[in-house]
Amino acid sequence: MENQSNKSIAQNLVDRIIADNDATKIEELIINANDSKKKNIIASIKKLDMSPLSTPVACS
Amino acid sequence: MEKNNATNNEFILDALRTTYPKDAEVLFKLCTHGLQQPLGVDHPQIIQDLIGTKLNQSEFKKIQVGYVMITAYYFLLDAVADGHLEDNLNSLYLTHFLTLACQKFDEVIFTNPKIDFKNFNSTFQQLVSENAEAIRLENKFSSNPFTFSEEEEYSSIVGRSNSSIILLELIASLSDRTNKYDVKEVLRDFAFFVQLGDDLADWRDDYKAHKYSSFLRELFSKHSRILTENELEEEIYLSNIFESRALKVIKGLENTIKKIEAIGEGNGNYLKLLIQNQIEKIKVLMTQVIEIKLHFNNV
Repeated sequence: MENQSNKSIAQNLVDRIIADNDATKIEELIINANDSKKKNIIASIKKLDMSPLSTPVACS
Repeated sequence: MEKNNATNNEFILDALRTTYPKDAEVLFKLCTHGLQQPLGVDHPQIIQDLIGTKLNQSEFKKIQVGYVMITAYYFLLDAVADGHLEDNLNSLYLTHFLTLACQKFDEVIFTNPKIDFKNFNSTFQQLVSENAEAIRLENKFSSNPFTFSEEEEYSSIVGRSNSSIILLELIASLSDRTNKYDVKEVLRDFAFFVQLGDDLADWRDDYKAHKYSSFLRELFSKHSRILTENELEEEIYLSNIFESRALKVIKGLENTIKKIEAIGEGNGNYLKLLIQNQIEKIKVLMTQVIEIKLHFNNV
């Protein structure tokens, strides 16, 4: 349930970031995070597949 | 789709077997770069669609073979200049790729009266020089990890991938399209923003290989020093840098779509679709990153 709600909040945030052309508001999300939370955030992002950022038709 | 891949693979491999029977398999492997099909095999279709033309099948196939060869040549040359060649002996194959590319392009140029071959050759040579200049520029960047200039970065990235401009020049000459500026701009912008996306996805590998991309150099120049891998992780994932960079790629790609639409109604639908899919995938990834931040903020 919490996951679903976080997903929908995250989707709204992405839409707003794109509409405002401004991603600075993201910093607020981790401003109060302690070291342990920060480590967990990094560890979880590291597990994500970043390949969608690369394009198969790339010329270089 | 699978059938298309198989067909694409077969005719490229056949061309290599006919020209270089002993080296065909290894050359083909270098062309595919570990992917399902040879790099660049779709590009002639993308360019045709962008300028709104349809070449005859025989010319199209020759151009596809020639273009896959020139793409393989560009990749190999980049790796040689970069010092990241998997096997030093692979540099032997630069000549194989370049000669077969020229042979295939010549077969089209000399049989089609529409082409002013002197003019095409001069453009080709100019683009080859531009590519060399772009590789030199990238080398200069690598040895100065604290310098960052977006303008120079743009020149370096688009120059290193200007094989698509060679392709455009060739297909445009066959289709009587004299004004190519708008299509060139689309191809250059597309190459640039795709590279920015690659740099964000591959920052760790680039860092470990001391291949300092524009993304890494921008961070180093901000701190006036080379950061450690852990510092980079914190900088990229715990600030807004990841999202800002992804946003830059999305905005750049959205703008490229607008430029495609300005070329003409019905032009570039294939590339537009590829870019739209790409934007959606980046949005999903951005959502996942933000979701992680929200999750740990709530626990």
